[in-house]
Amino acid sequence: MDSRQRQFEALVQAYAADLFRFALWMCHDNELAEDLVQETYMRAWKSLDSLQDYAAAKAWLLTILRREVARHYQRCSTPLISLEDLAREPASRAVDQTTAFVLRQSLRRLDARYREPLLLQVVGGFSCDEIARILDLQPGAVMTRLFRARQKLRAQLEEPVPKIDKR
Amino acid sequence: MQCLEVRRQLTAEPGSRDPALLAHLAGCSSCAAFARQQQAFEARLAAAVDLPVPEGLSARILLNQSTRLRRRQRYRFGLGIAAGVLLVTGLAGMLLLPRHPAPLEQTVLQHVHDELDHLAGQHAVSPVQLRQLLAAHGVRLENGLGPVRYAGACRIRESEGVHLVVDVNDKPVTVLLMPDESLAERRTFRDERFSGVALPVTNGSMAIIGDDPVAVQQVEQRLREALHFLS
Repeated sequence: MDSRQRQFEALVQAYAADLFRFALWMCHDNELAEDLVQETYMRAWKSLDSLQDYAAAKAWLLTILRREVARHYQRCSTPLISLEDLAREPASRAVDQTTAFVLRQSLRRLDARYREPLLLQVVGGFSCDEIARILDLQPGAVMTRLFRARQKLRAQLEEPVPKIDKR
Repeated sequence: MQCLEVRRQLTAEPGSRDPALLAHLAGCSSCAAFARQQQAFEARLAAAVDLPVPEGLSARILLNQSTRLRRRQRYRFGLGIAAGVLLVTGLAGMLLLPRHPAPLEQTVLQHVHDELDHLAGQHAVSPVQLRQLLAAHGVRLENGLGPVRYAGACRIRESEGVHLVVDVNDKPVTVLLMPDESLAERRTFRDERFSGVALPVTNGSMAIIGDDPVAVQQVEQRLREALHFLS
């Protein structure tokens, strides 16, 4: 197996799951999410030699995926998750299912300019600086959007949004 | 750090390991309690976004990739067999051949259609980055090309070349440098959207493709003046 093939397989093993979750959150359809990830990796294979820094591989793949999502944007359905769907989902952690349900609904309804950086952070594990590069924003703008995203989500849970007093 | 700044940062980045922030938390019980609240919420958020991944996803991706590669190899193998049969039987014009390889022009047009997103790129490529990329492919940049929206290595017909998108009065024009593709003479071509020109260069060939034929000509002129191909 040549080194190019080995590199590609390493990228698949390392990042396919997170790419799928991100795609699923962007398009809300399991089959479409997998198609998008498949196309992402095919494009990545074609331009693998342009990846100079393997430390940035995940961000590079996310950038390709976001372009694929943009192409399919018009065709993405956004069904709200039903209680039946929720019942079929395995419990990922010991978390109150109602809270998870409300959070998912709220996340789907969140404006894309808040949802996307939040997903990159929580699903992708990217830092604010990395998110800024992926989204072509200033780091300060990313911080603001992440702040507002969480404030909005907490408000949906009818949690008291912690006051941030000037001190 | 002030409490306000700490709390804003914790809301945006609950997992922050900023030393100044951690030092503040160690000395401020109120902000430490705030941090615990944020982490509790973060745990619920992380669990909520942790959607299940279909089993076998990685295997299907690798299978898809290897299937596409094998199709290309089978196609080339089929061509080799057909050529051998021609030689043996001497029936040069009478055998049914598998699909001929697409002429270079068709291949470059298809490549541009496959990579349309590069035309919309807004990332201004710096002259330094451009020089480095070209130098890595045996090309010296002697003059400016104007604004460059995209620059990267790419594969065309399994050979590595350079893919650029240059700006001409806000119109994107694609330039493909293909070191392993030989061409006898300059040729023009078009499809329903793009016009293009392909021409031989010292170590391969170059294609220039755009929506506007005038912009394509302008880029061809720029390239003739700007690029020096090292043999």
